[in-house]
Amino acid sequence: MKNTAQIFKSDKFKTAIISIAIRTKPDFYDASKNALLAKVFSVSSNDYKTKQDFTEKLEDMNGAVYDVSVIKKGDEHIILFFMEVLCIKESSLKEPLEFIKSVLYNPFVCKNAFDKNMFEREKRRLLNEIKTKRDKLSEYVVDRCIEEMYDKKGFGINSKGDYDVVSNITSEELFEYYKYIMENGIFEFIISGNINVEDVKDYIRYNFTDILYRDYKNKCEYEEFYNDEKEVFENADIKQGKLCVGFKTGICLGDDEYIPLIIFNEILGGSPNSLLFLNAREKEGLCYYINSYVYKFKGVIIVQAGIDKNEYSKTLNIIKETIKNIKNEISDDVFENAKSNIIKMYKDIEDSMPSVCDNILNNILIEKNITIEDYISAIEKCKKDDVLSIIEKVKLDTIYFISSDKEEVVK
Amino acid sequence: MIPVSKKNEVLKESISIYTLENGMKCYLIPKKDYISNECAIVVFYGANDISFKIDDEIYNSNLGTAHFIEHKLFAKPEGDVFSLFAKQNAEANAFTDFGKTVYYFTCNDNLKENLKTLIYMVKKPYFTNENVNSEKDIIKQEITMYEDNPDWCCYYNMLNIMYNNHPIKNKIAGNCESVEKIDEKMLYKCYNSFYVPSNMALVCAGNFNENDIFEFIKNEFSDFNNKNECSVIYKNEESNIIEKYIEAKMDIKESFFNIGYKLPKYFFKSDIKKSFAIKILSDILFGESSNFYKKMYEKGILKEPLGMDFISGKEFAFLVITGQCLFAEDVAEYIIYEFEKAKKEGIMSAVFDRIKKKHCSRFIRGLNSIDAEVMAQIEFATKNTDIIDAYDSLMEIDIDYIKDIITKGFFSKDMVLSVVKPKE
Repeated sequence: MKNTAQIFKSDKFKTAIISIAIRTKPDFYDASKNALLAKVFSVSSNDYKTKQDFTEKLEDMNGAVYDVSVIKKGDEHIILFFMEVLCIKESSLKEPLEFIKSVLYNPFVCKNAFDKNMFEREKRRLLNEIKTKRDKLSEYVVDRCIEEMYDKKGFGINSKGDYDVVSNITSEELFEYYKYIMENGIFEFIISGNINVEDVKDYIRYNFTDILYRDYKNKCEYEEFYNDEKEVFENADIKQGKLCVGFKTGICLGDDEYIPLIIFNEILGGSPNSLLFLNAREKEGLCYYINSYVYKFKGVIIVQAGIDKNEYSKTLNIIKETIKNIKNEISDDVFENAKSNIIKMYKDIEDSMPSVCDNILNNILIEKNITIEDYISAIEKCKKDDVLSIIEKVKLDTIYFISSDKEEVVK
Repeated sequence: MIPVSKKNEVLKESISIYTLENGMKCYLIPKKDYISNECAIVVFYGANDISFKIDDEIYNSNLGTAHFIEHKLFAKPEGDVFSLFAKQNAEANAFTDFGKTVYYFTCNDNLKENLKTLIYMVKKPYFTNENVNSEKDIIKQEITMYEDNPDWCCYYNMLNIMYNNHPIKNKIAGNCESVEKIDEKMLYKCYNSFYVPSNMALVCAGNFNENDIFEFIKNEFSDFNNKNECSVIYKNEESNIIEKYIEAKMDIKESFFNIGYKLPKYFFKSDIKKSFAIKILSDILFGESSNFYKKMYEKGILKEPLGMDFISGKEFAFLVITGQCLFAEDVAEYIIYEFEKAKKEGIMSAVFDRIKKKHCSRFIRGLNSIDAEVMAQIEFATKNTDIIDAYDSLMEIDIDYIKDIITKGFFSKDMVLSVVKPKE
């Protein structure tokens, strides 16, 4: 496969999006370098050295939105450039493209290293973000649960990076890594809006020449299953316990069984009409929120709930029992309703340009071209038996619970 | 019925505003290229409306009653309306803030069917002793969830040293004790007092024929003519603050802070132009491109942009600036300094132009999303205006208006600091 640029015109929206995805499959150490490099990319270039110059430039471009972050799609850690600019009349996006080019090709560097001041400041920012990640409890429990499920490998590596690893990265090392990425990274361009497609294509061809059309091979990796369920407890002085239960299914985006999987999840915990919501909240009053979510590149289902710590066992039992008995709960009505709700979610993608771009990126990653219409027709064709037959593949892997006084919970 | 129709050719947006015979306004926004529809009913009744007067009689409801009604309005004799929406392929939700309660859904097909459900839900309450009691545990879990949120705690601590009597200092959902004492009678009393057409509005955006949808709405509301003359009572609130500083400790890793400016009468129930102007002003002074932020960022005191919000309503107004850092006192001092400096020296017109342009473009960006547009229109409806006029108000703001606004408030004597620190 070779990477290319996906550039298309749409005048439905009032803005244009430029997104550049740099695909990596890092080990534990390089994941931290990705995180730090994203920080550097998000605040500086040689043309706009200080954060103030950088921000002023973005504001001058009609208040352009710009950010660089690391997102995970399965084992791939993606350094994602996202820029959104006002674009009511047709535009060639010259100014915003020039800006990104400056960040990417002309970083704030001095003697084969990133500028020391800027580098140290961004490093401190990242270290602080890592240190304080528990302050966002609901994100934190999911991250921790996934880390435990994958032994801090691949999908299980935190994309924010590791405190000790980041502490030891020098400006020279990060610059070396930057050069490696520029020479070997796989860059995917996705650009859309009321744009002059030919002009944008020309600009990309002439200005990002060396990073286009790179060969790459996607290694196929097999899912590891563990026989034992793992329970992990963490103690924090909080009033409400946060429960996170991770299941593996081995069914990923692009597989035939993927559609049955998302229908299963919809019925389980995808909406306020789902079984978990009814059983745990409406019947038992155990929680204000309980839901489940599919991480599509790994086929992982994460169930989350905020509960009183004394209700740990009861809630966990309800989750397990709900899955065990789900066969009996999927009436034709429930099944058809779940299908229509998922079809709505897919149709809604067309109303959001970031979602359209995300779907394109997903297709690039799985090397297939599944359109929204394809998804909808697959959902329409899906039979109840297809869903019933995947239930046994849903395997509980890790339970993560953070609350006060964990000793009382474990009993 | 002839609506008031407005259009902005540059934005390629339009809106039709209808007024029903019962007094309720309907804002219909056509989005012809879109697949989804979103519809909301807003009741101008929120957590602040606790004590009110009807026929010379004063009624005191419990803290959290408006939010409780929001939870229980979904209950009907035949079951939960949540499931009915789901069966009709709509996603429904609701929220309550200090001054309003909002019920809404999104759907692709079945717009009328779901509209009917939404209107039925709001028209016909069904509160029973049993369904009210069974909701209490759920609401208590919601309250507990917020108690673990340092942002939330910091914010309410700030309001509690800013306000003596005004109900804005109370948490929207109330507390576990106040919720326990709420019963179906209280819910009915408040519902009957505030859920009246003249105190409500409807907002709908999506791919539909406006006149057709309006006729449908009119018909569904034809039997809804509740009237009530009730007025909310606020105790007298002094203009000065109570304390300068409050500190709490939680099991967190980094300190959170909220810096608040209690603002005088001039800012109460601010119109949309004033609200935008204050947001532009705070962005000029403390936003990511400001000299203030440059200093804080380069010294490593601030690592992320500050949050800034201006909130105003009946008998209150304040500006709040939020962030996370070890040296909140220093940040507060710099903020006082920047306000004093701006009062004396004014602001640079190049900076004003740039930031205003940014706010205009963010406004337009919001129109990309049906949900963002409906939520914005709900906010505008509370100020009796709409997206088209709101954009014009934003465009109207000039530097002299901003300079004038700075002189009306933002004095250091009115500033409070709330900090939540990590436990040792």
